[in-house]
Amino acid sequence: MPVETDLEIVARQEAELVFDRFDEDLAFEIGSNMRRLAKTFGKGAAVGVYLWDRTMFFGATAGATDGNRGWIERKVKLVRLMQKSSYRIVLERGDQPRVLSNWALEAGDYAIAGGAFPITIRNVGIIGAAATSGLPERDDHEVSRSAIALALGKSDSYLPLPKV
Amino acid sequence: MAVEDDIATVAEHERVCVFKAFDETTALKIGTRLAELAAAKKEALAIDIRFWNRPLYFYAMPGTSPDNPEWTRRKSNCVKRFNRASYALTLRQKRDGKGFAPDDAVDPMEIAAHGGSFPIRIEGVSVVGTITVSGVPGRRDHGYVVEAICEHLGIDYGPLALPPE
Repeated sequence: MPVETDLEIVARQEAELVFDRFDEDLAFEIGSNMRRLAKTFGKGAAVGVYLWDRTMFFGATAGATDGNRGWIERKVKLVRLMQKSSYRIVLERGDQPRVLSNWALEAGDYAIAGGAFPITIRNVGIIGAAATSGLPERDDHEVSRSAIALALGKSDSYLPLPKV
Repeated sequence: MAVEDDIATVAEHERVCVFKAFDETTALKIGTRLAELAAAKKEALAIDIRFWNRPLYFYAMPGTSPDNPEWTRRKSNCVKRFNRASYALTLRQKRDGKGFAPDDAVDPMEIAAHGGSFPIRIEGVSVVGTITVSGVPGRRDHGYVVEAICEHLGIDYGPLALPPE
């Protein structure tokens, strides 16, 4: 999986998966989609939908732990900080250290790991994020992306990352 | 000023002051207009416009002190907690004759039920941030914000203004 290809696709995903409206029902739909998609991997996974400090949905599959909840929250904080999907930041940073001391941030508050995808409103911007934890980070990202695509009336294979 | 009348008027403010679009430029425009409105009345405001995850605009006019941004912070937190204009909370407490109860678990260092912070509500979405001012009594802080939003949205503020006390 060439980083450049993934970066290009993730940027397109972020640019095109944009909502005209967003409410509690839609958050529930995204969260339910995420949980169903994550469950097909047969591992413990947790999913969450957040308008930053406001939790809109949380779900877990058998085997998920509170550790997954922590990963989700730390990935969402990264989206909140950087205004990009957390997987895109992983790709952009490559082998660089993940949170630098001169950013003056608590490293433990953020996870530079894929899986949190921004909730973007047209003509407004990013108002929250949907995040998955428990799978390899690229799959976490794709679960979140697919669930958002479905909620937008698109196919769950809309702008997929190539199979590896 | 009848509390019940203000409650109805503020609910109307919240109903009509809804945005179809809001970005960094919107914040600059509304913030700048708030400063103009206050300067025209020779009053000083601290003006804070933010999404929940980031600041978009801040200006402290000459005549404000470090106390004012402390108020904007706590009033904005009030909107964040309740998704209502902070003045609506003032009025509710006035009507009921009591402040937050211990069971509400509201930290007064973090949240102030004083007028002047108004939700940025996006049509079909939710509340994504606040427009807040501090500098005059809360009821008039609230009035400044609603006036600036109405102008931006092309709504006639006159009939919506809270009557003089």
